[in-house]
Amino acid sequence: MDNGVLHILIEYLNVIFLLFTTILFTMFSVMGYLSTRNSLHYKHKNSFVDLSKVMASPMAPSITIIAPAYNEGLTIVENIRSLLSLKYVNYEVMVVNDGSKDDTLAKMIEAYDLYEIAYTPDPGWLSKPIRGVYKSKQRSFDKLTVIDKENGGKSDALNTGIHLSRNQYVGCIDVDCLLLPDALLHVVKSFYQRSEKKVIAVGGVIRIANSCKIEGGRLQEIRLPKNWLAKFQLLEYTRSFLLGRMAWGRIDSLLIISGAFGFFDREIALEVGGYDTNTVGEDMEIIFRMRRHMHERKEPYTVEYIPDPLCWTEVPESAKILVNQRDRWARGNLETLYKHKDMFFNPKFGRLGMLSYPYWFFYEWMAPILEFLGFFSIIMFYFLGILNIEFFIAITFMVYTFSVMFSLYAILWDVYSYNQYTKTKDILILVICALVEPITFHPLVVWSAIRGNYKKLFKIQSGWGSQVRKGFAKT
Amino acid sequence: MVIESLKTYQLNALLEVPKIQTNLLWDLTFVFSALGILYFFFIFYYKRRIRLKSELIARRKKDVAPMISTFLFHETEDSKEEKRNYVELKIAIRELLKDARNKEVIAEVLLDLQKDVSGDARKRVYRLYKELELHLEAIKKLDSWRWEIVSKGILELTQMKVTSSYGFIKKFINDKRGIIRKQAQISAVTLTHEGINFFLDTTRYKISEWQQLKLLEVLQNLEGFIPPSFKVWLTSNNRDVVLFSLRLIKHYHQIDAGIAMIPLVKHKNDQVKAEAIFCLKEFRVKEAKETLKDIFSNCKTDIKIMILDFLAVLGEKKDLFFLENIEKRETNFIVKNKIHSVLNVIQPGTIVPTSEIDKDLDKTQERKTQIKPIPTNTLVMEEDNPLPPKENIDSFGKEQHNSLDNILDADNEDEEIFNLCFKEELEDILNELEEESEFTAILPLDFLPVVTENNEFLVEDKAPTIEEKELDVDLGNSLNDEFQEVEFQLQLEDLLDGLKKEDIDDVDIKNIDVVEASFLPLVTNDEIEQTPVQIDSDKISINEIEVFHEPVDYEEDYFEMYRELLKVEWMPVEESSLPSLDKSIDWNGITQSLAPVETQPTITNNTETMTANVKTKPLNSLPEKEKTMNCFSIFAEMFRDSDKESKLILLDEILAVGEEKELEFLNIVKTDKEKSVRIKAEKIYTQLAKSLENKANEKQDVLSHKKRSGVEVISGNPIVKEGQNDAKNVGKLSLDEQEKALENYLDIEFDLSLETQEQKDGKQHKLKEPTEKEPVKKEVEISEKAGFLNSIKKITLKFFNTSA
Repeated sequence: MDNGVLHILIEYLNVIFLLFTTILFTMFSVMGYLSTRNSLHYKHKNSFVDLSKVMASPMAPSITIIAPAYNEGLTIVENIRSLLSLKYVNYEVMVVNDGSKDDTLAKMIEAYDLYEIAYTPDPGWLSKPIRGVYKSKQRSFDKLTVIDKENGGKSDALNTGIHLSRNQYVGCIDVDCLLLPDALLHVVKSFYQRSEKKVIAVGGVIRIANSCKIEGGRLQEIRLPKNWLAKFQLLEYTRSFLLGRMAWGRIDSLLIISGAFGFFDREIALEVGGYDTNTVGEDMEIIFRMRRHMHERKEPYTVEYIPDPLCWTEVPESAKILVNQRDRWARGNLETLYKHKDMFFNPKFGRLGMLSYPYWFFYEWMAPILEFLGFFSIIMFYFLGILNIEFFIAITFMVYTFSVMFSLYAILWDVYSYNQYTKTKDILILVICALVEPITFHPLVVWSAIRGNYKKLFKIQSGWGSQVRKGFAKT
Repeated sequence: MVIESLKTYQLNALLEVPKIQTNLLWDLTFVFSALGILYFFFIFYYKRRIRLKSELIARRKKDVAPMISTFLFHETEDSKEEKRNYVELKIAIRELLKDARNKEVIAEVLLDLQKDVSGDARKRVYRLYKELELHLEAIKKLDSWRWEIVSKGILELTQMKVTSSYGFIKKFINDKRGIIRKQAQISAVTLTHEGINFFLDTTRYKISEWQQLKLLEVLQNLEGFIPPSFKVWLTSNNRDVVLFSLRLIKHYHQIDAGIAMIPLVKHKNDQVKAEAIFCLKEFRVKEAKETLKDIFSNCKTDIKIMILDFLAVLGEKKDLFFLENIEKRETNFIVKNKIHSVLNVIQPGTIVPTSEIDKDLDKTQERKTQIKPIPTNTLVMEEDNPLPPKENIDSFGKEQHNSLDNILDADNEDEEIFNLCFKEELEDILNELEEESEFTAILPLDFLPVVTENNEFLVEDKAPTIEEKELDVDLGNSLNDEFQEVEFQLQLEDLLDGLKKEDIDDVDIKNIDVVEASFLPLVTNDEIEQTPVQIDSDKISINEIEVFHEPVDYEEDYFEMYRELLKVEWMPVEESSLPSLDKSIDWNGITQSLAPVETQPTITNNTETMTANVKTKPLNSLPEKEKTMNCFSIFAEMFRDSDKESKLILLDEILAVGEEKELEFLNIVKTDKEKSVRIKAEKIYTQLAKSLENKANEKQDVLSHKKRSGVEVISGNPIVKEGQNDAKNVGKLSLDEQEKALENYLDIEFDLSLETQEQKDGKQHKLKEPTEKEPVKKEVEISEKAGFLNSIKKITLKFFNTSA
């Protein structure tokens, strides 16, 4: 009897697992369809646009690009130079030195001939104390403002920048990101193109700059990363940004904007209080809050998403740093979902509550946990002799072929839309990555997620970790 | 019992796990694998297709672009060879246009080209686009059900400025499809100046900021656009129209709309409010002040800041009370700071720092003796908002620099010190002024005209009244020389401009002392007065010329040239229809000597025809038409090998570039087997005949007019009086004599050398050496020996420069 019950339980587990998988595959398929339609629509729409005319228009809005910097002495000067070279007139670059322990500030002062200006802090604005605000003596750098403050974390640094900015829109980027020269033109277009809804935030695709040829702060040649870990991440980003976020953007249910390239309506961002300094997933959390805020105001709004490759950044090339990064992402995910748990299947929040939040909960947060548990269950069941081997093999192959197919579709769409990697060799390498990823890279990601959830659930202190910057390779 | 059995049933139901069909799983696996393989092949297929497509387009563009460029920049004054090429190109392009893909490529090439050129070149591109009827293709796209095709059509018509398509496009201004609607709106505004009025009147949809930005950009670039009074639309029901109108009012600085904007500060929409307030501030509309004060407390922070900006500009002392009141009530730090700033602007010194003032008596002792105590004010800054202390940055060894804001901040003003500094500055300025008055500047006076009667420096008469030092440098002569050079240059340019025209009698030689040689020999008097002759533009008096005659050297090259000409197939002409030739010329002898093999009568006839063709004759003196296809027309050969469409194109070209010989050719074409060709040929014939007649009549008028004034010019060429030494009688040559002279026209060799040449036949005319006061001379040397084939005559022109 006991064996029978156990057997029945296991069978039910199989059914649940199958159901879970089927729903996931259906959602992915729908996302693939929606992203395809959105990409085609975007491509056709943009063929009629000449962005260059926006550049110096009297109606062009003012933008502040906020770039927090912590121990970026190696690359800070070049990165700022790249930011100052964008094709736009009405913008400023605000670099927030978040209590760097190295010579980040000194290098900036020397390179850009900075001097400290008088500044009156707002007592109502809570952030770590500001030590000084710097401007350049040279007119050619008058777009640059450097804020030196005590260390408070990325969120705190961004909040300081948002508060001190006087412009209509603020962009929060990583200082080591490389923006294409016309990135701001795309952003402005995204903010301005809607007439029925207010655009409160704009996000973009992050492309991987590892091994790319960069000269003078400009991307000269796109190359496939040499490091295999970076290659896997490239495939993952392609799937995630090109298929996943495009699909969510299509139904206006995007719940996350990448912290490396996100722009906000400054007024709305201030109304919600800026970034949450108590979470490591601040990029996701602020979007949750901004969306809630607009729902409560009952104003039509949207979060726009730009699929064009405008922002290039380095990804971790070592397993340790990668695991730390994904660990942080998992913790941030959990923190945000927990903080806004009242949105879960709440019709008050429309598609957010009924679709986006559940997806994030089940498939972004819970899926790695289930996978991990499932892995151990299989081993256990096998040794107990109760494993349905036939089912196990069938479903494994089904999941594997689906994931490979989905990755190949992402590669196909990238070739059709942007054709960034033109060499046949690069495409074949990506195909190999698609075949090998479920066995090699994916378990690493799952392990990172488990670790992050474990730390969060058992309240183990852990911060941001560190990212080793190599700097963009100069040719 | 039943319940128990049901319970059992339920338990059994629960115990029966739904069976998982593993076959289904394997089927799905198979499907996913197949899809994966398909996507794999598609990846490479698309890669290849993208590459081939781009290569194909690039190749086609590379082929088409030079053709288009050549076609575009064709000049009607080009040689016959180039005209022929032009027509052939046009036919080739027409052939290309039969393929739809080529149409797309050509349209794309033109669209790209119009972005890269400007002015006349761009107009040509537009004209070509219409001539090739590509605009019809774009108009056809407007009927498509696919939005991207309709949008593309609208975009194309807009970029190529096809104003005739405005009627087709404006119906899309309120299309429900967003992209089409936006494209149509931009198009309407671009194509006509009234488009913006129509758009603002009729648009029912919202206008996004992006759309407004693009429309504004279009309006900015419209040539000759006179903006309407946009205040008319401030009362529109469409909020975005109101907002856009405000922005346009601001952009075009329509101050008269100031009063109309005042009610808009109470608008529900913050953007409209903000724009209205900004405009009111820019236009200094004082009447809006009270309204703004009324709404201040209910506004958001940004609007409050804007209202305070307004008050900073237009505020008066009576507004201080209002500002003080709101300052007390306001809790927002930024707004409070702004209020303080405005208070200090309206009344400097209203808000002064009271906290963290240096209380060290030793250090301030000196200051106290110099400055008055700072008056305290009830409005004192709160202690929790201190100004930051100005500290040095020790770690970097740099002194702190006060920002401009600090320096200009009213709080930091010290009146006494200011007065002292002001006095010092004033003294410095006064001292500088005194020094300056001692200095006498040498004014650059070379721009003034110099009257050179006695080469005196006349600038002194026009010198300013301020005291001047004596000029050390004698500017008189150098100025005179410089002026003369400049004068010469100006006159030279004028003349060159005039001589570019075909008919030399159109040259305005009024006030011209210098005449330069041109490719057309000009007969003038040997004495031209120094002072400019006041001549009306209609009457040109060319002075008499001196004619020089020289024997012509027979050179091999010339014979070769004539032989080549003889090889051309000429139309045989009846002898009687030809004008009478100079009988003194032994035509047969000439032909025999030059072309001993070809002594056919046709050659003689052909040469006579050529001679006749040089002259401009009234239409009725032309030879009768010949009913053969061997017409002397460049179109004949092409016509022979062309299809119906090409023939129609050629007929258009005939109208554009045709001459008398084309009329004969057209008479032949009128018998073509294609009806449409026949009809068109008739039409073209009539039009061409008319235009040629008009041209001939014009020239006749000019001729007769000049005859009356004593100057005869035929076909823009100077009169060449054969054998006439005395150039004074040139003006009296009769028409017949002129005709005879023209027979020798083709014999003329133009030598632009400035040196004189002695005539071998004995008649020598020395050209007078130019002197300073000698008038401009034009000398033309003409070979004595007439005859088309026998003699080669040299004509030289000499011009003298009085200032040389």
